[in-house]
Amino acid sequence: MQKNRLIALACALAFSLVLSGCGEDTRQLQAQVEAQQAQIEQLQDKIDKLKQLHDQADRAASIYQGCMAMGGLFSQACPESVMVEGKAAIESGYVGAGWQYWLAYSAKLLAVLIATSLAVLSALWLWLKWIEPGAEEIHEAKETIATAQQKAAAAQSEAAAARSEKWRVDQDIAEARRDLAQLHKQIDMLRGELSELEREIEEKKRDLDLLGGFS
Amino acid sequence: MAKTGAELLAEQRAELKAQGKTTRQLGRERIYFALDWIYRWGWSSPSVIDMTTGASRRGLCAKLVRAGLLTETKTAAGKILEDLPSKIVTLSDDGLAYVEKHKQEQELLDYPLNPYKVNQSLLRHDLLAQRATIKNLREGRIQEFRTPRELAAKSQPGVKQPDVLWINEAGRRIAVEIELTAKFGRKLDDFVWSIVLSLSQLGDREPLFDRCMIVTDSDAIVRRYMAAFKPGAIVNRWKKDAQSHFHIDRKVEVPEHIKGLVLCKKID
Repeated sequence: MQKNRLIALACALAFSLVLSGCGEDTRQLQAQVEAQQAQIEQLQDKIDKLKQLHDQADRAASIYQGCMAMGGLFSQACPESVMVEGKAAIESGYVGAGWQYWLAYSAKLLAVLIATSLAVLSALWLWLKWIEPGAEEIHEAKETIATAQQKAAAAQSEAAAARSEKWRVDQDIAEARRDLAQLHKQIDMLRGELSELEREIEEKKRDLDLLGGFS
Repeated sequence: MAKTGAELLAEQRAELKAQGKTTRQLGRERIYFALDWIYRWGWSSPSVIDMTTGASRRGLCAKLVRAGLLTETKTAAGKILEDLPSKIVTLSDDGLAYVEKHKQEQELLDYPLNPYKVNQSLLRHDLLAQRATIKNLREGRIQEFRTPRELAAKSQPGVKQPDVLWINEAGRRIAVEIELTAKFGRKLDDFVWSIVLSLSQLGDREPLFDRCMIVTDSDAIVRRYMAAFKPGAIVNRWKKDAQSHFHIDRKVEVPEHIKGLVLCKKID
């Protein structure tokens, strides 16, 4: 901006001199203008250099701020030269809020996320590794499963056999109960017969007692 | 240890008190029982009449003879055979009138007042029945009895009349046959078959007796009758022809249900 103003000022001076019509003076003035232009260019170069320095300091301050965000976490990962330059820029009064700050911050955040993710993944991997059974264990587990399946099949077979046995036993029990009921009936019948026989015996005894009348 | 007269008297008084009877009432009952006994049997002996009053009382028969209620008659075989009475007693006119005064119409019997009509050949036989009856009655083994005279009054043709019918407390009827001489041939067959019919249910007619007891003093008669009453034993049924001669009409078997219903026992 400043450069453009200076260029516009030189052009306006040269034009005024041309319009005045002085030959010698014109050349003299031309020389002065050229000197002025050279001086302006020098100043312009200086301004550019300063501007470059300013921008660099600003970038360094931004990067530094970005690196020092989150309490300085992972600040060691930032190049030392950048950190020294950035710190100096901050101390010189630069705020360091440019897009570099966000870039560094994002990079740092990304690094944190990546590190955290890696840590989580590592932990997960380690945990999976820890819980993952070994080949022998798998073999043993397979054998155990096979054995368990065999045992289950055997148990099912035994259960079926037991059910069959239970059914047979139930049948036997039912039959035994029927026999028992039949026996109870027979016992009742025999008791009835016995009672009848006892009654007959008692009657016969009493009848025989009548022979006592003849004694 | 024998009881004294005072003790016996005290016992009898206690018994009367328990029965709610006076001595006079009891005396009348004993007289009636003795007279009724002769009325039912037709005759009796003094010792049996004395037995009707109980073992502790004697002399009732003589008292009744003196009172003119009984007639005493000497027996033909008296004092010769030990188990035959020397005298028998029958009811006099007064005795018969006294008994019949207390009888119901259906209980009346045709009583023979003539003592000489008593069958002397059956004295021992009949006296055995009377002695056994009064003994069983006094000792509570039977509650009631029917004499041949009572049974004959209500008998049906062809139905066996036992020498005495005893009825015990349960109402069982036991026919008693006293067999002192063996029967043979047709008489034995008729005897066996009439007892079988009396112990059997014939149509609607219930058995006349629940058991038959044959009593004898001979082992041979016991064996003979036991064989005759064995189920399956053959019994001849006899029939009289036009010339009044008996001949075997058919043969029948002693049925199975007779088993155990006929008892043959020997007495001493």
